[in-house]
Formats: sequence, C-alpha cells, structure tokens
Amino acid sequence: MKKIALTCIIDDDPIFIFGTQRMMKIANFCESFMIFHNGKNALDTLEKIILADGTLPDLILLDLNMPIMDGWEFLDEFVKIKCRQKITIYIITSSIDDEDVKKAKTYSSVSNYLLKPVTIEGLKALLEEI
Amino acid sequence: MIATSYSIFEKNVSRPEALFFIENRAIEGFWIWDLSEKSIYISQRLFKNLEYGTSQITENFTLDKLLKLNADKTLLEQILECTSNVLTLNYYNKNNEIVKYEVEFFAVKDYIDRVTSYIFANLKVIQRKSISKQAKSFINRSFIHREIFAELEQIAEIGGWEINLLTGQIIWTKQVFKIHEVSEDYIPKVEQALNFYVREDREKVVKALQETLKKSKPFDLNCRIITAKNNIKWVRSSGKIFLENGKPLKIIGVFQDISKQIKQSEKLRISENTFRGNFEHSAIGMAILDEKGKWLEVNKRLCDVLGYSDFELKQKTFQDITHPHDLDLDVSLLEELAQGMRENYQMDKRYLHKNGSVIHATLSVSVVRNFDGTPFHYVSQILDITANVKAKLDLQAAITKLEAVFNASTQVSIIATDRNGLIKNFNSGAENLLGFSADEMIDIHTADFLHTSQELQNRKLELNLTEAVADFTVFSESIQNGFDTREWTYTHKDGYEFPVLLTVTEITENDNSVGYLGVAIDLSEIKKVEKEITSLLEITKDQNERLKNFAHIVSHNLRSHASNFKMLLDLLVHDHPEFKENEFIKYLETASEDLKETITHLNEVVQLNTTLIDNLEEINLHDVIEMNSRNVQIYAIEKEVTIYNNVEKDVTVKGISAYISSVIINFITNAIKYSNSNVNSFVKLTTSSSNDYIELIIEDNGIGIDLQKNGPKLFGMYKTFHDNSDARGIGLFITKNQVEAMGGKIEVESTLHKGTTFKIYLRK
Repeated sequence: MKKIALTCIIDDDPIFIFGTQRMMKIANFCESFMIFHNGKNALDTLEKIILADGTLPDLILLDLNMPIMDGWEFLDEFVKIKCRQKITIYIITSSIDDEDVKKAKTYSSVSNYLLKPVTIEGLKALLEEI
Repeated sequence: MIATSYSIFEKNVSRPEALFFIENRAIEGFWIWDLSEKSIYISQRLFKNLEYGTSQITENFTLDKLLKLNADKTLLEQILECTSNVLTLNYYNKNNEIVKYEVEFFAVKDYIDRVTSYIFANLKVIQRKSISKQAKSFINRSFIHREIFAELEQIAEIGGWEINLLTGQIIWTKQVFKIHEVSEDYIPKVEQALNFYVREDREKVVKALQETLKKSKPFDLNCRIITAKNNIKWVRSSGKIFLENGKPLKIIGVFQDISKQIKQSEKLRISENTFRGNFEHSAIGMAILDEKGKWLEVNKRLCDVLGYSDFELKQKTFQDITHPHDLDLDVSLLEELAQGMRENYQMDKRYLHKNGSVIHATLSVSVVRNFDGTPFHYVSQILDITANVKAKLDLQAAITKLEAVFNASTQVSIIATDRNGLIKNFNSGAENLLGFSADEMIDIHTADFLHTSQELQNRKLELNLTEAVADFTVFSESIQNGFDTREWTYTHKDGYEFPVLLTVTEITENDNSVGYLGVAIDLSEIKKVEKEITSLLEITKDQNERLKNFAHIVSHNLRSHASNFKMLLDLLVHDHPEFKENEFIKYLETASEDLKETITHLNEVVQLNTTLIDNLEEINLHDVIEMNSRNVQIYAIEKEVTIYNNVEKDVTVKGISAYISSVIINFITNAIKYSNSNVNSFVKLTTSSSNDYIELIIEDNGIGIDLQKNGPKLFGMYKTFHDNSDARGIGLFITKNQVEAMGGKIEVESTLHKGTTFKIYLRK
C-alpha cells in the first residue's frame, strides 16, 4: 500500500475537513494536507505552485457546493492550467443528485465520485484504487 | 200552348192513365195545370162551354182568369185536402159570370213519383148562367169521344184505335197512320196491323190481346214496330175492352210513338249509371241522405273512411257519427239548407270512426228539393283530410317546439339576420346577454352592431377585405361548410364588453341562402375559470420549483450534516474505544443511520417522475430479473429464501431500465424480508400476457398482509405493516409510482400467514 504524500482538500465545511484529516491519519492514508475553503483560494494557490514548479498534491478531494467558486467552476478553470504532474481528483460530496453524478462523468480529469461521509474502510478502499 | 201541354205528356209516366181519365171523364171539357211550367192548358170543349170563341184561344190564361178561387184556400190546398178527387170549381165564362162544375182531378206524376201537373175533368155542370146552343148539341157521347181524341192527338201526338170485335173492323186515328208511316187511305186489317210489330214483340202483343179478350183486363205494352218506310220505332200501345150487355163489343186503345222517350230514358239510364259509377268508385266519400239525416246511399270510400260496413252505416244518422263539438254547426248549416237560405255548404268537421278515433273531413252538402221547395234528399261529399290535419298538427307542434327552444334559451343568444345582416330575430337569450330588447334591434341594426369595431377591423385584415366593405361581411366571408365558429367580443347595452363563442350558420331555403343564424354563448365564466387555472398552474409550477430546491437542500446540505454526525461518531469511538458499549453512543449511531436513510428515501420521492413517460425502451424481463436476483442473492441465502425466475427468456416489456430494476429489487427484497421462517420460503416470478400488458406475477409464501386492514394504505408513503423493525413502506410507494410512470399498474392479493402475490402490469 502506497502512502500518499500530500492531499489537497477543497471544502467549506470545517467539520468535514477536521474529520477527514483525522480519518486519513488513522487509516495511515496521508500525513500532510493542503486545505482550501473554496475553489478560488485553491485555484489561485495551486496555479502559483505550478508556475513556481513547487510541490503539488497527489490527490485532490473536491467538494461541489462551496461559496465564491464551487467545485465545477474550479474544475473548469483547473483543467486550463498546463501541468506536467498527474493529479488525481476525487469529487467528494454529500449530493446524491443523479444530475451531479452524471455531470461528474463528463470531466475526464475526475477519477471518481465519492459520497460523504468518509469512513476508514472507504479511505482504505480508495487507497487501493489509486 | 200545345207545345207546353205536349211537354207534360212527354215527362209523364202516367200518360196513358191520364188519357183514359180524360176520355172517360171529361164530358164537359177539361183543363191541365202544369205545376213546373206554371201554365194552363184549356180544352176546346171547355172553351166553348165558357162561351169563348175559337179565336180567343190564348196563351195568357191564368188561374185567376179561369177560376173564382176560395178566399181562404189555394187551389193546391183544396186538392191536398180532398179525399175523393172530386171538387166543385167556379169558372168564369167570357162574360165574367160564374159557371159551377163538378170536377174530378187527376195527378200526373213523373218517374220519381212527383206531381208535375193536375188534370181537371168537368164531370157535370151544376149551375150555369146560360147554356149555349152549341153546348146542347154536344150530347152525342161518341162524338164527344172523337172530338177529345182529335184534340189529344193534336196536343200529344197520340193516336187511338178501335177493333170492332163483331165485324173485325179496325179504326185508326190520324196519328196512328202517321206513326206507321202509311197514308190515311190505308185500310188496316188485324193481321196486317200485327205484322208491323217486330217479330220478337209480335207474340207479346197477340198474347196481351188474347188476355184482354179472355179476362177483360186492360193491357199496356212497350213494343217495337217496323214502319212502312222501314223505320224501327218504339211505341206504347195500350188497350181496354168495352162491353155491351156483358159481351165484349170492341177494344179501344191508345197508340203512341215513344222512341224519343225510350231514347231519353236510355240517356237517363246511362247518365244514372255514370253517376252511380262515380258514386260507387269515387275517391271521395259520398252519401245520399234523407231529409232527417239518415244515410240512404253510401259509397265504399265513405265506409272505408268511417270504418263501418254499408249496412252498419245505413243504420245510423250523420248525427250519430259526428264529433259532438262539430254537430251544432253542421245541424244549423243543414237547417239553413232545408229552409232554402242556401243551396249548399262546406265545412271542415270531425267524424268518429267505428274504432273511436277522430276522422277529419271536408264536408260538402247540396240539396235536391221537391217541387214545393222542401228538401227531398241531401248529397254529401266527404273528403278524408285526417292525414293532412295530422301533418299540419305535427308541423305546428314542431314549429312550436322550435319557437320554444328559440325563446326559452335564456343563456344562449340566438340572432337571425337576412342576407345583409339585418337582424330579423332576437331571442330572449340575446336580450338577456346583451341588454337590448328585440324591438330595439329587429329591422334596425345589423348583427355587427353588437361587436367591437376593433375586432371587426382585425378580422377584415385577416380576411384580406378592404375597409370599405360592410362590417357584417366578416361573418358571411368566414363561413366554410355552412358555418363558422370563433371567439368574439360582444358589447352590452351598458357598454361593457364580454367574450362569446359565436357560431354563424347560413340559413338556406331550397338551396338559396336567405340569411344567417348567430348562436352565441357567454364565455365570461369560462374565461374566468381559464384564468384561475392558469394562475393555479403558475402556483403549481412555482411550488414544484421550490420542491426541487428542497430536494437539492435535502440531498446536499441536510445530508452533509447527517454524514458529519456519522463521521464524528466513528472518530469518537475510534479515539475512545470504551464508548463503543456506551448506550448513548449506540443510540446516537442508530439515529444517525436512520437519519441518513430517511434523507435518501425523501430524496427518491422528490426525484420521482410521476408523469407518464412516452419514450420507453424495450427491456428483456428475464435478464433484468436474473441480474437483480444476483444482487440480493446473499440476503436471500441468509434468510433461506429461494428465488425462482420462471419468466420465459424472450419476454420483453416497454419501460425504463432503472425503474424496472428498482421495482424488481423492491418486491424480491420485500418477499425475502417478510418470509415465513417456518416454511421453505420462496419467491416465484412468472409472466402472463393479456391484450395490452405483460403481467409480471411475483408470488411468495411469506407472512402475508392483512389487506382488509391495510389495503388502502398499502402503497402510501411511510406505511409499515409488519412488526419487522426494518420495515419501510416508502418502497411500495416508490414502486407504484414508477410502474404508473411507465403506463402500468399494480394489483395485490394476500392471505395472512399464507403469502402474497403482486401482479405488475407492464406495457407490451
């Protein structure tokens, strides 16, 4: 099992961020995190890192409903940035709306669609998948 | 005068008797009173007796000039009162002195027994002022006879003959020679005389003569003779035997050419037959009635019309079979006829048929009178007009009904116009809706008056009509296939406008257009309702939108909070393993799990498409069942339930793959969930096919449902029927909606503790 070095979580829900970080540590999933509370912050920062050729996260967990810039807008902008490194993007949302699931499938950069809540078993399975 | 008297004899059937009467009685002369001609013929002998010269034979002799009449009685009354036929008459002579005679009279009758004239024979003078010399000299009886014969011959072309039975000598008078067309120097012999008769009649004459000789009976025969000039003539020959001292002396007879009469009576017979034929076979009912109204003769048509046989009808009077309401008028008209106030009458009246039904008829009655003016009989013509009357009544009823519809329509405006749109009829509905009275509209305005000018102009543009054409043209021009229906706006008398649905129909008579009929109903209420529905639809749309938002909130926000609970609990237990057995934590976990599930179901309900879906795909039922049974196989094994997929491999239905899967999963899961742990549980899936549907039958031997108690609630939201802790009624609710969205339906049969069978009807 390969451990992920850096995980980027883009979500406006502090409870989720808190929980997920704890879960990942328990599951021995990841040690360090990059946290953003909306798509805009994430996009700006990641773009700077890419330009500066800094350290990029291996995995992005992207929520859909966020203020300022939501998950979809983030995806639309992020794919425009040229990047040498392959970044795995998971949508992680509480939305069970079919429309959202279908829409997610239209983004080739999106690897999978995960439903909240995140569980230790779920994280383990995810790690396997990556 | 002679001509007149001749005509008397022509008409009279009783002429021979009249002649015998004159010959035997008129010793002192005679006179004839012709009732029909109102004239008098006076014999020469009477003339002489009354001292007139022959030069004074005049035509203008009247009853008053001849007779001194009783002041209190007319001559006719005297005659009618007299029983013995013998009267005493007071004649005026030339010098206006009274000469009294005993007179015997004789009534001459025609073929219908009607008296046409009277002959008065003077039997003897009772009192004479002066007796002329000439009168005294006329004592010789045989001379008198001869004189009378000569006179009669003159007036009636009647001949006389005499056979002397002792000598066999025959005497003919002038007229007899003339009838035989022989000259007066011809000497008749008995044998030769008989030879004039045609062979067929000769025997008859001989026989009659023999009878007369034997029994002294007079004879009277109509026979044919062939004259010397070979003409056939009908003659009337009558004779009478004269006895002397009890022995036959001679036969004296009268001989008359009756060819004319025979010819006339033949004519009469033909005309009578013609009448009878007409009468019998007339298309009109005909009858002859006596003066009291009793049927004397009725024709077949009348019997048919009234339903009686000829015999039955003749037992009745017209009063018997006349409708009581029409009797008075009929009787009073007949009375006028009887009194000579009219010669005929016509009336429409009703008769009563034998079966009791009413017959309508046109009756024409004319009268045949006796010579004194009293009715002899009536001739009625009765035309059955029952069918016409009935048709007329039916028509009247139809018209009345139509008028009733026209006027009773208080909510429907009906306006009829002529070809130019001028209003001709304006019903109460129109008055009601528009506020105008019929009087204000009829023959005053054209129908476009009621419309808004803006609409009329708009319609003109639509129809490519110039502004100059009459406004009403927009209605006539709109008509296709005889009518046009569209929405218009009417203007009420008070000025407000309201929408109507107006149908304009062309009125045609014999294929010619004569006008238009506009039928309109007020759409105000309908429009109002339409508006309400539209606003209701807006509200519903709005609410639906909010529901979608709600669904969104449920699926995103609510759910994220719920999952946070779950996550935090998991972490809490991980960090503090001792909490795992803590009851609070346990219940919190259960509550969190239930909350999550409830949100999932709620979301499904909101997302459910309850409208009928048109574009359904073809789905192989066997394969779908196979796939879904595999998904629940672990659960089935755990609960020891066997799943039998007995659906034929080629059965397909029309549906939505996700829905069909959901439905099948739901029923199989339910069957497993509510299986009976005491038996070999199974769930069996089969199909049967009907006209429009494939029935998917899902049968189990589980614990069953009390349908009596729970039937109506079975497919409701959040109903649970079993004690099983994990029961969730939402499944059946969703399933039912999914099946209905695919155009199908669900039926259920169940027995508690025995099992349940669901029938799911899916489109073929």
